[in-house]
Amino acid sequence: MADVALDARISEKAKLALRRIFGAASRATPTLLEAKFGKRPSWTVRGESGAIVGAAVVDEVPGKSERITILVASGPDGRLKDLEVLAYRESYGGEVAQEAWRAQFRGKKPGDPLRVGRQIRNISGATISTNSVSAGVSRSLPVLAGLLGIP
Amino acid sequence: MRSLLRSRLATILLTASGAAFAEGESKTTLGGYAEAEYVNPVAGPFAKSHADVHRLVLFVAHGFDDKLSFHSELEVEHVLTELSKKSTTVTTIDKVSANGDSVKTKSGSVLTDVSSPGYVAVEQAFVDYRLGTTAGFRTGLLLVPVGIVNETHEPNTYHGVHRPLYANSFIPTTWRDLGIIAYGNPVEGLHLKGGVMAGLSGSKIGGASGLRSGRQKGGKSNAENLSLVARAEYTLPFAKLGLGSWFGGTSGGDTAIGDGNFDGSVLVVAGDVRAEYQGLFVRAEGGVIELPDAEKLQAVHKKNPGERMVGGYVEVAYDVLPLLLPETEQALLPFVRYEKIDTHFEVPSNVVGNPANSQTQIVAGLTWKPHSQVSFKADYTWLRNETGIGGVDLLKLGVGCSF
Repeated sequence: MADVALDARISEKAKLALRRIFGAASRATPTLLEAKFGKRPSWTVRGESGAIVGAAVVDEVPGKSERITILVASGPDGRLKDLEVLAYRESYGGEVAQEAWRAQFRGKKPGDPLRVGRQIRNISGATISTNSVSAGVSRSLPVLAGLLGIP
Repeated sequence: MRSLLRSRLATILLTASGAAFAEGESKTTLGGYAEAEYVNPVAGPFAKSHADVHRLVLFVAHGFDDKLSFHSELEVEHVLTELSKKSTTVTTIDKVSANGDSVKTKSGSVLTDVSSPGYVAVEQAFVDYRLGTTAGFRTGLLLVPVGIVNETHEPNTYHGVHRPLYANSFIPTTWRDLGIIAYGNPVEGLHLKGGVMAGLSGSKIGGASGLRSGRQKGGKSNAENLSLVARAEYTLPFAKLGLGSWFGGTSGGDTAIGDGNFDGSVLVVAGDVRAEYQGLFVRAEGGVIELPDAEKLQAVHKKNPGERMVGGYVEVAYDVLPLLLPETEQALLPFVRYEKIDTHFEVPSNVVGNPANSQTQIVAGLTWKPHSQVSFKADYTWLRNETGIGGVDLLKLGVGCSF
């Protein structure tokens, strides 16, 4: 699996997403994470008091013919806090970025089944994107738990 | 999930051809789909079973950057296409013998063209330019944005070995032609597209398969009648709703019908619903096709077009596998589809309505998906028409995948 590097534009979108998810007062410290599936840009995030409030990682998953870049953010308990689509490069099937679809992942913990069509709704006509993004969240959650020191 | 050839191969190929822009974000993607079938006519006039690789399709796409990309789909149907020469021995009377009998001598052979059942076709070839995150346009050989199956026709996306009858004889899938289509998402959940495409040819529209033979398919299409196309799609949490339309002339500039852009016009309006909830899948499509100039088309081309055609289907499928194996990643879906189409729902005064063009089809079967992109299929199809004769029962087995 390929490593993921961020260009300036996506890097800026990731910073905005972190501020949205963890609050404007939070401070994200970048770390380079070497997962089994490749190197991933990631952050540990501290709140105003200095306590760790979560962690986030950027993953890239295949769409129908273009990559989809997502940011997966966990709270201090390792459960998914939010998911953001940083870049969707295809013309059709962009519904995975919709709030109602992303909301289904909130609160999921590492190892939770995220099967499209069961725990996660499919979007007709966007089957490849929905399966890919679910798989990206599935593999990112344990990696974030590792970053947060959760066994 | 197409494999990325982001790769040295693409770089080397482009470099070898002298292009200097292979660096950076540009990349080539390969994908495709294939489907094979065994069809046994259990009852009806066709006695012979057949086995066939119905379609093998390769996708090649290239992203020049994050906004500009090329997409293509190249198809081979029925395995091979060749125009071979069949040799026939010809005997000629050379001379007449003394007792009056003619003496035949071989004088050689005549070669006649014999074509195999298959064909090769380009189904899509277009450049897509995204102008923002939510809007853009594509131009080239495009799919007509009407109906579910015309735009999404990979074999793992529908139930049954064959595509619905509605997607064959009503919406003539795969319906494509040259054109330009703009698209955009004005609000979250709503996807709109609309544009202009080369028209249908009225010279072959008619009979049981309606518009099907009228497709020009983008091979030197007569572009005298530019047609308008539009589609709206709305995504709800558990369903997607679609409404597509085509409006255009079919005269091809033939003055006997009229050389105006919309002479010999065809109007298609078709709606669709796809709903999914906890393993239950429901699909429905329905539409109407109007040919107000059907009488003129009949007077010139004599293909018996209807003045109004109607069609639709409802399909229900349910994934039973999680009931047996709660942890499974696979799916096993019994399904049933009920379809009705009538290409002679109304006929002009110079066409005799043919009740055989009013067809009802029921397909019941099983789809096993060991992976979301691979389907093993079995179904039983009852196809009947209003005359009560010529009905067929088919037992079909198939396999299909896309990647």
